[in-house]
Amino acid sequence: MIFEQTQRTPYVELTSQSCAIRGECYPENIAEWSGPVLEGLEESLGLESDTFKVVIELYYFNSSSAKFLFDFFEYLEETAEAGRNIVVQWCYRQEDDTMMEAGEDFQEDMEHCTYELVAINAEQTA
Amino acid sequence: MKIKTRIIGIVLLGITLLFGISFYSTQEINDANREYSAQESIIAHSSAWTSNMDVEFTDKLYVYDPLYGSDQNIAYWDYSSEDPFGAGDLQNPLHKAFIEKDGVKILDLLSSVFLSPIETEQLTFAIAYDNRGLQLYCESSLYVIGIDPCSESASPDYFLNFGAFVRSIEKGPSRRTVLITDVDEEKPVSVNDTYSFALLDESDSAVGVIVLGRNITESLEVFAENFEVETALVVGDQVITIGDYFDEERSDELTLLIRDSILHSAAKNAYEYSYISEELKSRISSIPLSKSIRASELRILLFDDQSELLETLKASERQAQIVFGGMALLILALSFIVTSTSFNRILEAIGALERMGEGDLSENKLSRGWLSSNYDEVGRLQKAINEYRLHRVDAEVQRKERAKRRDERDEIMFEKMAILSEQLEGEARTLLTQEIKDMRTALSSGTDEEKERASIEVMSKAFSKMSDEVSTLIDARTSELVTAKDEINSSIRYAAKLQNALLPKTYPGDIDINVEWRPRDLVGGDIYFIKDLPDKVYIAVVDCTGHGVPGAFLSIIARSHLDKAITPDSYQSAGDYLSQVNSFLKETLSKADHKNTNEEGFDGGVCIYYRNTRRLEFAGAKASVFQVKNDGATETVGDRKSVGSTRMKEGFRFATNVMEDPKGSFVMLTDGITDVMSPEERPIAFGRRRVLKLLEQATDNSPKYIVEKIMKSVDLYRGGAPFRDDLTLLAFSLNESDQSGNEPVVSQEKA
Repeated sequence: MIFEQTQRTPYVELTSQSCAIRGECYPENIAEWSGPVLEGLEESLGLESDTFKVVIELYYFNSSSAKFLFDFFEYLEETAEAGRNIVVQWCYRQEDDTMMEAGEDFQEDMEHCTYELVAINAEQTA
Repeated sequence: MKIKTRIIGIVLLGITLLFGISFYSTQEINDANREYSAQESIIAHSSAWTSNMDVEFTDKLYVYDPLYGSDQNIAYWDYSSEDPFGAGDLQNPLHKAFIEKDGVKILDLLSSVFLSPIETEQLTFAIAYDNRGLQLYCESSLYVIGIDPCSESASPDYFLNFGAFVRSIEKGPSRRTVLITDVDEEKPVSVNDTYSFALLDESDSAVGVIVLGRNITESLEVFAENFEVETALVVGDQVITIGDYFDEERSDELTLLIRDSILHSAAKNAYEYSYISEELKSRISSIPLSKSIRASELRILLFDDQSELLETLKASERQAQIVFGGMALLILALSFIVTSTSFNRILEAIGALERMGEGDLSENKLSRGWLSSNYDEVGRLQKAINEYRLHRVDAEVQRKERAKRRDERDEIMFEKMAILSEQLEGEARTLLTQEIKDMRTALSSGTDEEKERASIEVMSKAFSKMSDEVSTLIDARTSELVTAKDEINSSIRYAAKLQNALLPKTYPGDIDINVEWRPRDLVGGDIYFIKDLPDKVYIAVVDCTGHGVPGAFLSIIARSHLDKAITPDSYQSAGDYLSQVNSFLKETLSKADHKNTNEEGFDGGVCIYYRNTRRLEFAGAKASVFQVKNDGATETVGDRKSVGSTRMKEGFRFATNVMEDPKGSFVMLTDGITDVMSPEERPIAFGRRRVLKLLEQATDNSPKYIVEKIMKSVDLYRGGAPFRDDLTLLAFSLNESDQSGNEPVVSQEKA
């Protein structure tokens, strides 16, 4: 399942084993965009029982999108708590301290997921 | 000349030419045939005649040949034969009698030999001469024809040179044709086949000459009878018929034939010939009488009646002509019929085309005609014309359909225009009504093409009228929209005014403050707050969730809580203060929305300055305060929780940060500054670190300089990209002693 990138929303790719989010996130109405993405995530997680890998590479998100990310990670936490093996990679550009800090903020709440902060070079981005 | 006439003319000419050529070649062939049959005829007649003569000669004259005749006869003429006449003589008495010119004895002797054959007409005559030409014996038939050879007036042609005659026969017997003429010219000349021989003595000298002859007339009669021809003899210039010998009157027919033959001979200068006289209906041939005499001197004319043959020939020729003529007529008639039918059909086709040209599209009765088919040239022409006609009929149907649709369209147009005219008033209405009338007139008459043109004109006029009307309407609507927009804008502007009114208007005299407040839209979620109390000052910079009008509403609530949470008379740590605001806000929001699912609230920082103790405290909700001193800059980071957030553990308190040695300037800002993005595809936010770096590099730590420096850097960083959020940048410095009030310096560019 793929949600194409728009000016204000990131690219989202969901498979039975992974979830990738890349881009910027500041839609006018976050609920309108995040609803289907969270539903998709739920569906993808239900397909298989292997390790589920989440890769997030964001450049900017606004405060209402932060709320979406909290919900997103909360759901992952619950699933991991229930026994599913989930790996989260928060990718940020080395010079992007805003995103690094945001990653650190989210890390605080994660207990059951394997959470990694990954610094990347600007050229390395996929 | 019409093509039809030309073709028939050419056919006629062709037939005539063919006829001429065939006639000419037939003539040629006929001529050749005649020439051939003439030669055939001459040869046939000549050989028949000659062989007839030769048979007669051998049978009747040659038997007396002194060497090869019958034994008895040989004996008569041999001087040495003993008693050939049976009179008891030892020597041949005939020789003696000739030598002695004993006429009586000769008569006696020769009569015993010749009397019987003459009487039986084996011979016509027998004459004996001495070697000088003296006639010693002459005996002739009783039935002699022409001059009697023994008469006084008879003159045989050898007497012209008797010496030579005797000399020639001394060498041997001689067969020759002898003409005997009547010196008295009473009897016609007689023509005789003769055999002459000499009586030779011991020394082979002639002692006498014996001439035996046969008149050829008898042979001629037999020949004429056998070959069913009429004959005539030509002796020199003289023509003798058999009838002449019997004094018979010559028939006119024979006279004519003879004259024709003589004229032909003279004309051709020929004596041997054969031709057909169509006038006399006979074949006329001329052949030499014998080999021993020239044809110019003596020849036979043969007249063969060819009337029957000629009749047949004529008939067949006529028949051929009839057949040929008939054929020619048939061909002519057929070609006439074919061309006529074809051309009539072509004319019909032309007529059909002409009628179509005049607009008559009724079905054409195109005839088939005899000897023609639907697949010949004309048939195909007719088919093509018919297809063209059907095509034209289709086109006509389509044209009518088009005209009908056009009329309908025009009618709708008129209706619409009438409705339009009803909406108008005064002169405009009169004008439009008149125009409709004029257009109707234009459309009611004229050809199809004119109507089509008029219709298009009507349509364009109607269209222009209506588009005028529509644009008038659009103008009206647009002005309504503009008014509405203006109203909204003015409401927002008014809201902005209100929000502005909530911003601090006066600053404490002992604090130098510089602010950049820039809502993305006219109003926004960012506000800053300054509460100046006698012993302390509250300075807060707050970014409420959302922006625009909703953000502005929240900012008003936030401001009231910021105000309400202040305890003017007692010490209040910054952390406590922020925690108080947090609980007030949560209370308010949970009343409106039980769970606060929208996570409304704010990020921001608050500084509390206690004048008496020169103590500066800071508490932050996802916010920092930067301190800029001469020797560098530092960042004090607040808590990582938002005010009003549900993601907060029970009993959470915001921490209080005490700023030791509050020298230099302090900077607070909202994420409108740090979230300014670079304009590339994968942008990086401006970030707090970049702010810190800027502040570290600051050469002047006055709030004004710092605000300008940061704003310049931010504008440079975002390039042409628009601001994404409301932004607030506030810098202040604490004056050491001066407590006099300053006018606030607030830059509100986009207000």
